[in-house]
Amino acid sequence: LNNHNSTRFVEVIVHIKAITALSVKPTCIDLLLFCFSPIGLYPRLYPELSQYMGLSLSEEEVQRNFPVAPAAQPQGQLVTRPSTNYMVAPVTGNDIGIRRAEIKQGIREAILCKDQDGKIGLRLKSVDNGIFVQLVQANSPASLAGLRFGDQVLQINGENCAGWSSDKAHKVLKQASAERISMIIRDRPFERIITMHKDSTGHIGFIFKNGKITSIVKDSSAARNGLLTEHNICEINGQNVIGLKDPQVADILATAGNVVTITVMPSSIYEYIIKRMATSIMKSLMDHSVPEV
Amino acid sequence: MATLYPSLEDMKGHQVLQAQAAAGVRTPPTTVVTEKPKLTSGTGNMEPPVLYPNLAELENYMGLTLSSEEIQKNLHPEDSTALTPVGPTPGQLVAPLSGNSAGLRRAEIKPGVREIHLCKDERGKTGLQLKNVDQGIFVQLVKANSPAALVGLRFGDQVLQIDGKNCAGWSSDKAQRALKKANPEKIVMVVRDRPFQRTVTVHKDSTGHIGIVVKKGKIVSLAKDSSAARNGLLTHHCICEVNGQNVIGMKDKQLTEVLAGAGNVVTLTIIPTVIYEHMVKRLSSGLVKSSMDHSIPDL
Repeated sequence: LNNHNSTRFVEVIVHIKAITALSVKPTCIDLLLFCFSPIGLYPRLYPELSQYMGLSLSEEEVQRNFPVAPAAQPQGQLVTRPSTNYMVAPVTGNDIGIRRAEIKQGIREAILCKDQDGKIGLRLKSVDNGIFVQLVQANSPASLAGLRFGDQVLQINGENCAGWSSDKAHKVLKQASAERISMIIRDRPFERIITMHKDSTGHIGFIFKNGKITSIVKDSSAARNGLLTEHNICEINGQNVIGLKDPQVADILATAGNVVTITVMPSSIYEYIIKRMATSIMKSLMDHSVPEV
Repeated sequence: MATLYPSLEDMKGHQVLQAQAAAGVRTPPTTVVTEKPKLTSGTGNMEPPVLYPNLAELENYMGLTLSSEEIQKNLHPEDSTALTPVGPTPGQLVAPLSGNSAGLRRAEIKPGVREIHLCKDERGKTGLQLKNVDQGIFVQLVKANSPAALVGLRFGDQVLQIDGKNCAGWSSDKAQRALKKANPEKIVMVVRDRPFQRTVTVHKDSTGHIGIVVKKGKIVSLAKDSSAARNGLLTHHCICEVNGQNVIGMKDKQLTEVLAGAGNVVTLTIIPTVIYEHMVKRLSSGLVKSSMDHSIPDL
């Protein structure tokens, strides 16, 4: 069996059946079961497959052609995440906060429909000749589609948004079909995530005011992980906290569990994106739900 | 979870392939499975009984379900090429056009923290210049052919610890002093990969253009309907790297040459100009032009 493709394998099954003719040999079952069930189901009950009929049917050969589903990783030990599969996380483990907050390096398509009022619940802003999400209203089609503050909209219904003004973007959305609006999104390009751990007193080690990080506590997890001042907190464990009062944010941090992943954005860019958005809208309408992962 | 693509062209290409696959020809394995028995029975001549039974008869062999469908489910079509759209696992990138571009991999900003060991050269230098930005220490300059370049440090990397001590809140001078006093045999640094930068992958059109106008290393405008526009490249950003190769401080002509020689898939590493200017403040431009490391990093 030099060429391990499906055709040859079928040949083998058929061949072996014929050779054994009418007598039911256990080795036959072994071969067939070996391929369609998890490796090691019948460990030593039957003779070694690797010697059968001079065929090279060792475990490695078969595994190469019949990938078995990977076993679930034990929590807290060596864990790999799909898109960042080179990170080792013995302490953080497979934390759900990181997975919710994770900024995906790539572009994706999102399909939206308008609600009965003809609205999407989305407000866009032009930054550096690109269009960015300024506001996602709670319980809106936009929040359902998973859009978040800071996402860059590359295309709306096939048209490039490059160079559009905020008004033009809103006009296009208004004129678009209510049934289906296709948007191409780049995930939060101006933001990044930092994962930190609480100490024995439950503190991460930074001070913030009006959502902006103003100072870092010495020898804290925040200091160790290089959290920076002059950055605004956009999300905590993936949940949007923009527009929330400071005590509310502190509350979310306190109940967040020991591993906290914060999504931050440099203040100069943040302030530009929310420019001319009424603070009342930010506080009352913005979507602050916990995203699904 | 939605499929992710490194560039818009990959998304469009993948969608076309998916549409083709949905409407297209049945893949070979289906025919092979049923074909074999027919073939052999044909060459079986007059040898009763048929030497190789029909696979369909195996359906109830020893109580095992071995119908064609079962086998199809377990056998993977070996002849799938790189372009055949197989369902990606959530979070993985699908890149039919960008493929396994070396530029993409060199430029990739890995989210996370890593440890590196640095030694000094015979003159006691590391070739590294650091700067305080927002209470963090960042790499401002990596000199060519220096120990820092060898270890893979790049402009914009955030240094979290030097020899076990947190760099949070240090001034640039304090950081340089720490490097100077450190053991020349081994300096242990904990680094976060280029936090202020991000990569954008674009494709050249038939005339070899990406669609950007660059002045002094900054993107000044985007061409309409170009790959740059489609992929959402922004103005007021500085280009730090092209396919992972540092281009900061290069003259615009040199930068254009690097872009021209870059191949069809170009991954640009960009940083907002506001932040860039903050980082290179008080960095002598002579130093930038003459000694900055512009080598192509290893993978």
